[in-house]
Amino acid sequence: MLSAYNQGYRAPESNCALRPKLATTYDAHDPELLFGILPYIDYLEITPDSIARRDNGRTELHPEILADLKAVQDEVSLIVHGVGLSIGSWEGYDDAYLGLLDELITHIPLKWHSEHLGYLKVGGENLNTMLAMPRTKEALNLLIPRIRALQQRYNLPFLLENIVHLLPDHPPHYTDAAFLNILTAETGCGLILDIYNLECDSCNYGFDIPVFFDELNFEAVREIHIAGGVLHKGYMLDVHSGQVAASTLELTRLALEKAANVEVITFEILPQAVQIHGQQMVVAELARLSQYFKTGKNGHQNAANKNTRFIKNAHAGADAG
Amino acid sequence: MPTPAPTPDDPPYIQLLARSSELMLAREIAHWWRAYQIEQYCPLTATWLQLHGLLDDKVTRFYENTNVSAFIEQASADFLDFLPAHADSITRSISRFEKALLNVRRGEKKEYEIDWELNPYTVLDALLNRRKPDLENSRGRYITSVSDQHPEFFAVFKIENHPI
Repeated sequence: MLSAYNQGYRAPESNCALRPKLATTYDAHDPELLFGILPYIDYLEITPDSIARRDNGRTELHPEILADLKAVQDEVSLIVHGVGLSIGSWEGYDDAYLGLLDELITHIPLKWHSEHLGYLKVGGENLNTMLAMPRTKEALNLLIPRIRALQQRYNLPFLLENIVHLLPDHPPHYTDAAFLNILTAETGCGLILDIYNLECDSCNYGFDIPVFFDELNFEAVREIHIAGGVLHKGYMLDVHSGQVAASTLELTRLALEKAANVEVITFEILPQAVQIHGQQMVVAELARLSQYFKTGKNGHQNAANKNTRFIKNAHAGADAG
Repeated sequence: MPTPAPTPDDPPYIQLLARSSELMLAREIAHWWRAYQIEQYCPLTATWLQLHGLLDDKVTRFYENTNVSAFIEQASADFLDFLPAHADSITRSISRFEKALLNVRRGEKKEYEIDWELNPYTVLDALLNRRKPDLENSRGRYITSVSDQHPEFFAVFKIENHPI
């Protein structure tokens, strides 16, 4: 049942298992930022909702951002990480989000797409924050057919991410790991393991990460998310607002020892945080992470080579145009 | 929409949730995002409201009374439409002006006229510098015309000898 882990999945080369590639988020039309981060990443993560706009009553992807993505699609693999699907809403997931994903897929090739294991709509009303699923049999019955439907609709691997437990848990039938294990076993979907979210849960209500690691089927984990956040009123918040803490990196290393199928580690940063900290912070952080995870022999040397390629491509495009 | 308080007949989990500090936090986080997005997409109106300590209240009332789109362009446009019925005349002018400007900059071929009780230049200059405008020295009747026919998308006309 677990042999494929979704359509089109290829196991990474064995010598790469502990050296996954780096990715980061790109949610705003910012060619200068794109130019700066490109040397350090092999994947670029896009959130369709964040690159969409409403125009004359119609929701569509920003043409400028689409053009940015097309310009780099030969340099990096593009992966989608949605926010608006609301896969766990009782009334069904959000068709407007799927419309955006449909549009995106017609423009650029995607390696996989993913969503958060939670819901942000109740009765069609947008909560403006994402809430975790109750870990019950009913929730599994709701989620499994939806995951299968998404797998059939898109001929792409589909991944789900563990999100923070902002509210007290509904009395569960399963542990966090057991719930994820059933979902992945029943559907063949993959997992994004968000390390920072685990830390938030650990800080906020004492979530036992070692026990979770012991129980989780790491074979399903294809992507890892890392981020930095803030403490507010004693709660660690999942806001992707800054650099990755040393504790997050250390936990990521522990996860990598167990997760042989991880292809990419994604540094998540909000465009709003980029506005505050500046592009250079993102570039410097990716350079630091690149070194930390030893994705290349020399991150800065690779960066220089890739920068040169990008400049050449850009000039070639400009000459052709 | 406002969340109804739990009744004694609700399950214990709902009772627990309603009393929890985590629910307060979740509401606070949702409010941050809402206010932040409004600030990003309606900077003139948001700055005006902020300078007068009204932004949080207006955002809260907007979201309490409307099922707001998840798409921020739509949500912001709806917020600017919501404000005139729930605000003073200066806020009305600023929000209508900003909505018109957003529409025209997006390519709409229409001319909007907005009435002002203050010199719009004084107001806009103050907002762009994040300070309150000098109300006493800028009173007067003005109209802004917002259209793609103007070099900066808008022009200001003073209505001479019009009583304030």
